[in-house]
Amino acid sequence: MSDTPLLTVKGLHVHYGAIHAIHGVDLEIFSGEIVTILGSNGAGKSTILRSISGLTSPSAGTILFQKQKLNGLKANRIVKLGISQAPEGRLIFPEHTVLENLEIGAYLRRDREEICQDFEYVYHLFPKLKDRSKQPAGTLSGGEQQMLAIGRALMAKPKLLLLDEPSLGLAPILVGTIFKAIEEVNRRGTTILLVEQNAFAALKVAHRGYVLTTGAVTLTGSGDELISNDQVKNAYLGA
Amino acid sequence: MNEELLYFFYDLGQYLINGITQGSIYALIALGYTMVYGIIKLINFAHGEFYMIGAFVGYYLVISGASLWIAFPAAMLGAGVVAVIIERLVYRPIRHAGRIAALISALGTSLFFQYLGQGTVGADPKTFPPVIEEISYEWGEMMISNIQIIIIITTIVLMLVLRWLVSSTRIGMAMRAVSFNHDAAELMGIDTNKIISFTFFVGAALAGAAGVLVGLYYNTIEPMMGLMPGLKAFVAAVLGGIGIIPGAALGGLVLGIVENLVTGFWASNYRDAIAFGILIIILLIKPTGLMGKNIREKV
Repeated sequence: MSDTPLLTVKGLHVHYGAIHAIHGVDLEIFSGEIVTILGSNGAGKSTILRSISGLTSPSAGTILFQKQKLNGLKANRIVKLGISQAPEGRLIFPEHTVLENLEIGAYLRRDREEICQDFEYVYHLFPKLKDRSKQPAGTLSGGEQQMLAIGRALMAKPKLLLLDEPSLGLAPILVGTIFKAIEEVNRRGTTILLVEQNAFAALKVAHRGYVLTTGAVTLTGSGDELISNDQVKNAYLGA
Repeated sequence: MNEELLYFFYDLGQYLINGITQGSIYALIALGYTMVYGIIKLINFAHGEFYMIGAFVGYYLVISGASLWIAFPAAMLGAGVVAVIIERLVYRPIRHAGRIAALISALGTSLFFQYLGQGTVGADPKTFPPVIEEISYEWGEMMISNIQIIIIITTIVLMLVLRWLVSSTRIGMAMRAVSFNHDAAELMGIDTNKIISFTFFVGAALAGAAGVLVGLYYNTIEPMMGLMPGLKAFVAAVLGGIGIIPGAALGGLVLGIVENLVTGFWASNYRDAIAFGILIIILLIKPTGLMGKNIREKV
């Protein structure tokens, strides 16, 4: 880990019309980390990811990635800089095949050979996708769709991978599979920002975490600190 | 065979030939309607004007001595470029302003071109030079002209090229991705604005091609010529299933054939009434169109 963060979010404010969704959030993510943002429905977790990816324009604040300001860049430019996202609701392309979904993930890349290697990498992480590669993605189960959304984001060869609630709506056994894959992706050198409601699963893999409550960070600390924190326990771990 | 029956079949065959020709034109225009709808959910009522512009670009090139091999692609290019400019100046600034705003702007754009045409080149019909000498082939009482054959073959070729473009190329894959969801496409690094421009270009180029083909077929063009075929092509696109590319091709053909059967066996006065009657019936019975799937709710 180096001293300068890979991604810095400073004083982020986001408005949706009259609704003030994010109230001055600060975040830092260092190279090699898994950082999680915990929060309940509507806390603004997805809004932060959308702002980083350029899908939502912040009303104030700066987002720096490797010293480059992301504010005002279009989403497709931000992907090119090395940030990809498996978004809320997965948004896989249902009429494209699984293979095509992964190809679109690599849309900006020209390095044929490395793309082939990354296909193998994704298929190694999620062997089910290989079995279903010729199938329209809309026919996949929820868990498989989530695997595809993550795999597709990996095909962009990101330096920073944003994951928006990968465990949402999945059976516990699938949650385990997904989080194992997340850890492996991180071990192979990809920095991950993980947004979750499933605090227990997220904190088990995360190095650090932020707790977001109605648009503001109310707590921050290492994964272990947060998992044993009373506030987190009461709010998210049901203890 | 009974002679009356024989003549019935001759008539039927003739109407089918004319219907397929007419339907090819509708289909070429309908493709652009459906592609633009697919990608930004806009019924571009100015689409018929791209067909008119194509016809005029072709006309002016041909009367200034260019061969059809130049005039035809140039008409496609001209219509396509105008469409890209219109998308940039008219539709893009209001893309998030709601569908009614876009629809009204499309109607305004349509009127703009119709009256711009009348103001500049005049409202009088112009004679499209008969650059291809018409030859008719007869079979019994049925006739097909070389120009009809050219229209049908050109349409088939353009559709095959389109199918290849959409299903097998990188930009086609991107078009399908954008038509599913703009945010998702942007997250893949796809520049959605570029893909939308490209879609307008391709759709209008096909309409421009139809404009020149009609010039060759009827030998007359005028600034209001886009109005009725534009509306008919809209009917064709809805009939086939708006947003579904093969649906537009099918809808155009069906509409052309039905119109010609009605005209031939019944009365030509009902031709337009039938076309718009089809629109009403399809909207009542199967609004998703012949090839439409039931719309899935997004979870």
